[in-house]
Amino acid sequence: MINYGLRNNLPSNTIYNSQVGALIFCCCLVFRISSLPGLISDYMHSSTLWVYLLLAAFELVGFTFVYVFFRFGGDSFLTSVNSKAYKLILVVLAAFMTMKVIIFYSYSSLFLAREMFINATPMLFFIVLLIPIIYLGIKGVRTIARTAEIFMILLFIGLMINLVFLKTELDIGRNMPILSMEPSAFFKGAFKYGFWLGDAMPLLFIKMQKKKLPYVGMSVFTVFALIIVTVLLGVAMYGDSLSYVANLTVELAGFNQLSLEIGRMEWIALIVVITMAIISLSTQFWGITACCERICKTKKPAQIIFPALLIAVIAGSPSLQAVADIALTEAGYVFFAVAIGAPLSILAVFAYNKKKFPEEYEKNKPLPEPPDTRVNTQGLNNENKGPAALSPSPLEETGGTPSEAQ
Amino acid sequence: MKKLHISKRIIKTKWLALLLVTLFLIVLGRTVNNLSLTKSATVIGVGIDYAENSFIVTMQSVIVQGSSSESASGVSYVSFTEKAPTIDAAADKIEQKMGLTISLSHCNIVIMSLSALTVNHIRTFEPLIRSMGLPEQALVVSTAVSPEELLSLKVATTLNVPFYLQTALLENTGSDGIVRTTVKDFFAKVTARSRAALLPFIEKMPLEDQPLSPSEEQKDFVKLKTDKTVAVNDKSNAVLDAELSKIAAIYNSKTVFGLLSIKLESGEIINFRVLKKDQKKKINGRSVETEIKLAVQYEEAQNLAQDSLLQSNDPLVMKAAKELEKKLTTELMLCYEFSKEMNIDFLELENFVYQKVGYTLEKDCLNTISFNPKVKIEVKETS
Repeated sequence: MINYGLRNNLPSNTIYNSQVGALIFCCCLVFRISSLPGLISDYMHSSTLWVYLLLAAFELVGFTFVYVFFRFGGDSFLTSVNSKAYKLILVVLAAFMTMKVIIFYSYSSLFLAREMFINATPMLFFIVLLIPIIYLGIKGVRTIARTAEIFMILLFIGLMINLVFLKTELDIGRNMPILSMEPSAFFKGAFKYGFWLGDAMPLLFIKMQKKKLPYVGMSVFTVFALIIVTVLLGVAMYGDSLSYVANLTVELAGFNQLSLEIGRMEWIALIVVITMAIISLSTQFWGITACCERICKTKKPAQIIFPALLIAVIAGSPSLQAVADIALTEAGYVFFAVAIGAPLSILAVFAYNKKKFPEEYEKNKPLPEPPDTRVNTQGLNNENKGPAALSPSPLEETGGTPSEAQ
Repeated sequence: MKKLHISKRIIKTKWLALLLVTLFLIVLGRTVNNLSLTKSATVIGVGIDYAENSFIVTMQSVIVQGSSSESASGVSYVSFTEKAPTIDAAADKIEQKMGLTISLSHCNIVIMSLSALTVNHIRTFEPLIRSMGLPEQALVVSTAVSPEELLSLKVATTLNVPFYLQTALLENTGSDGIVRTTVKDFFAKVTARSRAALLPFIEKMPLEDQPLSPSEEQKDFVKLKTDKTVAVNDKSNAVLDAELSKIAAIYNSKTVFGLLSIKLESGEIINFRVLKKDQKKKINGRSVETEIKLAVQYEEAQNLAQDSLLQSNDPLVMKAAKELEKKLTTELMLCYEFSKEMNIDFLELENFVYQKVGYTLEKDCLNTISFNPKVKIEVKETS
């Protein structure tokens, strides 16, 4: 049972590692197993799985940078030393995440309007999707993390039902040859999908409270295993015709053998995809507000401008497809560079400032965790909350708006 | 205490918001169709023909009649056909004619004429899947007669063709040695390097003995033959005879069942039932070697010189198994020759070589690939 009072005593932006795991599960999975397989297959053909493996390796490197940064309390430290370089990178990151939300939001709305709910007006989806994204984004990472934690088990079961009861003709050989084109063309094509990297970037701004089990590692392993298995099966099922599949997770559900007994099963996958998309997009939105807070000392501009920008793009764009297709242009290389380069640069800035201001780092350094914080945080007294929780948030000190602490 | 109260409210609001949004999307969606059954036509079979740059689309639907107090409720099957330059336009005309909304979400059979198979396959199926909800698990078949005529026939006890074909193909009743190609598999095969697929080929045959019924005279029933297949690629198609169809089905299918029969030179006819199939492929450059191992059980023997029953280890059974190996290997080689002659790579040899050689393999190179098939029969002792 969730003890709300206990969780409210955690400092701003602090979430448990189980919640970090849930966020990774929702953010890093959904767009990679829905629209992306078809998009990659359209150009890469039998190399689709191998492009995924290549991108997964880069994503792991990028995520390692993010993990090291938040585990060493990089955000609190760099905010307290008022690093200009950090702020500059955050401007780039905010732009990256803004593009991510706009394009993924367009993808999600288009999918729902074109593929699933043909007779309904598209504006319905824009509104239905927008409300929870903005709501969760404004509430903050702890609300999003709790939502992800609550839903994660249902989402996981939904995905497993899809895979375990899958009954159709498969030909694993369709994943060969590894190179369906010349190596130069393969690498040129593979790095164009950089837009789908860096989903865990908002985690740069969190502080983590550890529980006993290594939830983050477990989640990262599960996410990458699910991605690889889903794409492997997708190519084995469809071959090159995977490029006509708008949403692989939903299509896989159509081949669920339970559908012979209880009717079409797409609705399970649909709920999984929509819920994960909302959590993922709201996390990115929160990431944008967190960037804004560190640059401008307040979240308000991002909280007002971003929803307005999103509505303006959706309402003003003559074609949502054109917006979504930006992800497939040469801009993909820029996104790739940002997804890997930004966390690396932030880590470099952190290392430089750590050397330059060792006393300041000592003040902000997260203290070692007690053996089992879950047991130790059963009380409401400060001495029971774990050492990391005792260090004040630099944002609170510098006049930030810890709106999630209520 | 006040904080705790606010948090609980927020949590409740969150749940409510998410629940409402989820329900909103589900209820408005096609996955939960809110159309009344009496206002919709559930299509059970679609036929597509192509002539004079137009599609001739036939849809056989289940119509649920109104159940008001004046009229008796019931179900009837009706077929409507329309011709239009596009499939969507033809479907619209059918909807207007019927006065009902068409749903293909329960359609399990798509019947394509040979001329319709010459049109771009993806573009033909795309409107059926995207606009009308045709499941990708639906089976694709081809026919010698027009799909309109085929769908109007009365067959066996099921009275309508889609149910008959569904039973014959999906549930494997009386369908030994038939390929089963779903829409998804058809797409996967015609977009692969070989660009070829095999489809069951349906033929209409007269039924000499019409079924007897105590209540009324039964007539106009026909028999459908499903023992042939048609090999299709993006340029042409060709019908395989029953023998070649059977070995092609064994070669192409993951699971094989049904009877294999061999007539020995001395006149004996020996039947085996297939229990299991294992297939191995070895690709060496442009040479494809395949070995199909069939585990069979001895089923029946006729025209025997002896009076006693045969056992599965009888020398005659072993001899028949050897003969069957030779026969199937020869037929597989005939399939290869036929595919080269028609330039339709339904044995997917180009696929296998491409998977090994990679992007350097030129397209349309079936004639440069050699094929060495081998079939092995292992007679299992079963009760």
